[in-house]
Amino acid sequence: MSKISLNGNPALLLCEGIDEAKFLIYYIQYLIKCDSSFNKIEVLDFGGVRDLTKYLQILSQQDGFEKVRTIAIIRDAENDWEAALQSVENSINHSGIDKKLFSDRPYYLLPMPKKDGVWQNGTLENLCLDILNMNVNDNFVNYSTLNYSREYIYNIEKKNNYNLSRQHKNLLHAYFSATNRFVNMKIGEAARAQAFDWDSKNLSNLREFLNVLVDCCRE
Amino acid sequence: MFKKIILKNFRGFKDFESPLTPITIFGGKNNSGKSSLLEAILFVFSHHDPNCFFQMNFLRHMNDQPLFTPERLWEPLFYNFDTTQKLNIILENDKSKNNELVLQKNVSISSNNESNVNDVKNTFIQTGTAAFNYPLQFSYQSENIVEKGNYSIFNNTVNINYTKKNEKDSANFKIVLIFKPETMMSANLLAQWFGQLVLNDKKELIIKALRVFDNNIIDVQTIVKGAFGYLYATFDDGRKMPVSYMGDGINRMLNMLLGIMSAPNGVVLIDEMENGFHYSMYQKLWEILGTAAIENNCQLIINTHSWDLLNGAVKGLKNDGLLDKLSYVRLGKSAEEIKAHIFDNSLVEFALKNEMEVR
Repeated sequence: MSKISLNGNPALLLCEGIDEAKFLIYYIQYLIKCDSSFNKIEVLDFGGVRDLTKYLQILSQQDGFEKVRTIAIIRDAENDWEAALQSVENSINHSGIDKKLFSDRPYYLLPMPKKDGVWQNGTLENLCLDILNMNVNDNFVNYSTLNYSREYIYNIEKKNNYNLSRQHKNLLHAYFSATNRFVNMKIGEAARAQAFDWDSKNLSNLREFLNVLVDCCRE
Repeated sequence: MFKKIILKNFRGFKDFESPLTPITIFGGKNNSGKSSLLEAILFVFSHHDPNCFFQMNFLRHMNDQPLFTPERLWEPLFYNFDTTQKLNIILENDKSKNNELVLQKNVSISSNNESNVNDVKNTFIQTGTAAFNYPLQFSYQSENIVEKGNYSIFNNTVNINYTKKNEKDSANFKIVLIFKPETMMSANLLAQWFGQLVLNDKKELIIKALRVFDNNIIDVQTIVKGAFGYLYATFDDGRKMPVSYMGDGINRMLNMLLGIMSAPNGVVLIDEMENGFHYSMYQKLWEILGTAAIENNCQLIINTHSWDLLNGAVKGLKNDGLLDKLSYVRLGKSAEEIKAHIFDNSLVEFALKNEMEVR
């Protein structure tokens, strides 16, 4: 089995988990069709958030790191975006990597910042649902199926008299399971299968973040 | 034990520094300097023997060529083959004291002196090469020793002439052994080492190690035939067989183990440790050699290309509670320099677990 090594791209985008990495890979593949400069980005999976510091320390010692010109990190905000922010900044500070090597926007917390620019709690699944909710193109989402899935989750909670702690995950996968195209898929696989509209306005902030990453390694 | 090595103008190293731990594994691409680094350590402790230059050429399979010139013996040791620049090898120990060897072309002695002219007359060296023969001055300093002198080539031999020598008996004597994939110690030497270990009640450790490779072995003995000693293994069916007749892996392991156990407070250098072993043996190999090294206070400095060997090191040493003794250094070579990229034991373990390429 081949080992994870650097490919020589000047921009590194570090993602939390393989699913998140795949989502970004397929999104960036779409962006490359619009602007080839996005092919400077190499997407890597740093594993769990607890591993980020060690991952960065090892990354800086890998063969090929001398060619890297900028780095950015993406992770879920989870239930406490302030703690998530603190954790990423801590990892960057203890990475042994010169801070100047990090992008002008060194991190992005999923799902996305609010309109006032402040981060909010949530995960990649929230972003995916926002994309599905907003999209008006029936090629991408069947509104009836999505609404039925929402009702299903609501009824489960009501019948069992408890609240699901990660309702957005349950809803997203309930939707996938109610389709022929995306049944049994994880987010990354669903992204590859074109479950999400890459032109969605809910991705504009993420696109801007990736633009900054690419700009940081322009000549 | 040494905690740091510094190399200046030695072979491909212009200005290099790396930490060392009780067990240090060096990795890196081909031609990144891994073997040269082992040679540097060997050189510091063998410099008093004028044959050390032949030793180093032997390690590089170069002794089939005419070698009695500075071009062949000395210049390859220097960065860019430039003997006018000082070559420094410094080993800093855990008391922050240095063992330092310095070499440089001795420009104060003319290359056309009479003895060199006679040299041309009396040897097979072609006329005209006398101008290219020059002495190499050296200095060596350690905690108890200060020595200075010159190496010179005369009459197909290398001579050493001290201008300053340590007069006191010094306890600063360190055993340094090097194991390359293709080299095995003589049967007689192995028998001598083994004999000493028997006297020190360490025989059972050797048998236990051999049984990892062949669990039919129940005993090991030295048998003298003629003037030579040989190690024989006894099997549970009563057969006796010279260990040297057994596989390369078991012999290589035995060479390294006996070397480590015969070098207390010394240094054992192993080049391409993975050679000769099936990958499934690496963890057990490390359990045997790692424990022996730590118990004997013998520092291990090892080169490898092998992911499986690194993995075996982490698992084997962790099993024996010795993972904190390990560090891994990747040598990265650019156009300008060779640099040490350092991974402590926790980073190595993490990298291997997450399949991150660190070689």
